[in-house]
Amino acid sequence: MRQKAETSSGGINFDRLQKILAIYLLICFTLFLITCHKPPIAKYQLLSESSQRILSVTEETYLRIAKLQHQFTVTTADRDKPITRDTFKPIIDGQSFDLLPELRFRETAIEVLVNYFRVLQALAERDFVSEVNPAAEKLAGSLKSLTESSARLNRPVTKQGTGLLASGANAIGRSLVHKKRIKALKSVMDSSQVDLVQLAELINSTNEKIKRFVDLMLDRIIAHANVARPDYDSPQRFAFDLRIADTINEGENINRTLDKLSQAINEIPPAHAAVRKMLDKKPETWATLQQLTKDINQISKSYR
Amino acid sequence: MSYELAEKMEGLKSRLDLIITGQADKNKKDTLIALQDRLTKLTLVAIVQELQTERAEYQAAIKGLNEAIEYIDKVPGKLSHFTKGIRMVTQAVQLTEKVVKSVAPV
Repeated sequence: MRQKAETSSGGINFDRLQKILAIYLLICFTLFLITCHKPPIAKYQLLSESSQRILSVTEETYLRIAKLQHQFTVTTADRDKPITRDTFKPIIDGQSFDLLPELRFRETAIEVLVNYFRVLQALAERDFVSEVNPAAEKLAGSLKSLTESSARLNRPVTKQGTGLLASGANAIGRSLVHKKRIKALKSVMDSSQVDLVQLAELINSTNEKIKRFVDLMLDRIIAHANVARPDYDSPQRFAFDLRIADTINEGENINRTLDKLSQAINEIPPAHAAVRKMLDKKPETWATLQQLTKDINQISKSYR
Repeated sequence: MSYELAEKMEGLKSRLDLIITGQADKNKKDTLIALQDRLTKLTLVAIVQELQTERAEYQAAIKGLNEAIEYIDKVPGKLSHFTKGIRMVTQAVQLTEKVVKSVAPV
């Protein structure tokens, strides 16, 4: 009698169909669990925070360079000519040696770097599953309804079977968004790696030039200080020396910080590459990211 | 002015340092210091110009990153295709259910 019911609808065996569907969804769910390499959210957060820290220390360093440049232009202004509006401007023979536009330009470049890591972090963290869930839940509901309807053809559907179908549907939804997210992260990180390496090299090269710029200014400030230095017995001597000592200390501190910034920015491309590799497999070592953390901690202590 | 030229000017400035050190006449010393200032400023001009030439390379790297940012911004939009796909499967299931109901005993 049951056999008759099972095959009564044009030869379709609904009991068998239900089992096949359940097994298929179970396989999908298992595959999802096996291949579920979640994006390493904490590592994306580390990259984002590191780039933000690099930017904030860079901004502070550039501000200090601007002040030093101002001091330099005042110190080396023509002493024999009357003061005009141009006397203290960073110009020689009609040519500008103003470093500030270049500093601002590089600040903008680092801002792009920060923005890149911020959106990357947002993509890794975003709860896409909850966004796709309503559609997946509706599918699960329909599957449950289908199972119950088909069960009426032969025997009552078990709760276990219904639950399996529902969770299978949800798993497909999650699997789809998960794969899409991982694919997007891989694609964008692969294509950005070269640009990150290039940007790090450029910032390093820039920092070397800025260091020379700072050294040259500092040397001239010291040379002028030696000419204008009050006599040993003069009451102004101590205050003068103290001011010059602060300036020397500031210039040296700027250059040390530029070195630290270069070191930290050098760690960004390998750290980015390491996080990218994590999307394929669990890494054997965290050395690259640990080094980045160490370097970022170092630059955070600048100017203290 | 090239960066190499800037390096040569720095070399010249170093030689001037030696002359100033041995110079006792204050006026001559002042003149030499003013000359050194001038050389330094011209060297700074060379450094700034060198930094300006790097801008194109920076822009190339930034362009790549900006494209990456744009790509990431579009990902949520692409996700809606999957939601549509799930909806289509749901419709297919609902249609199948109708067929099943039509043949199932009441």
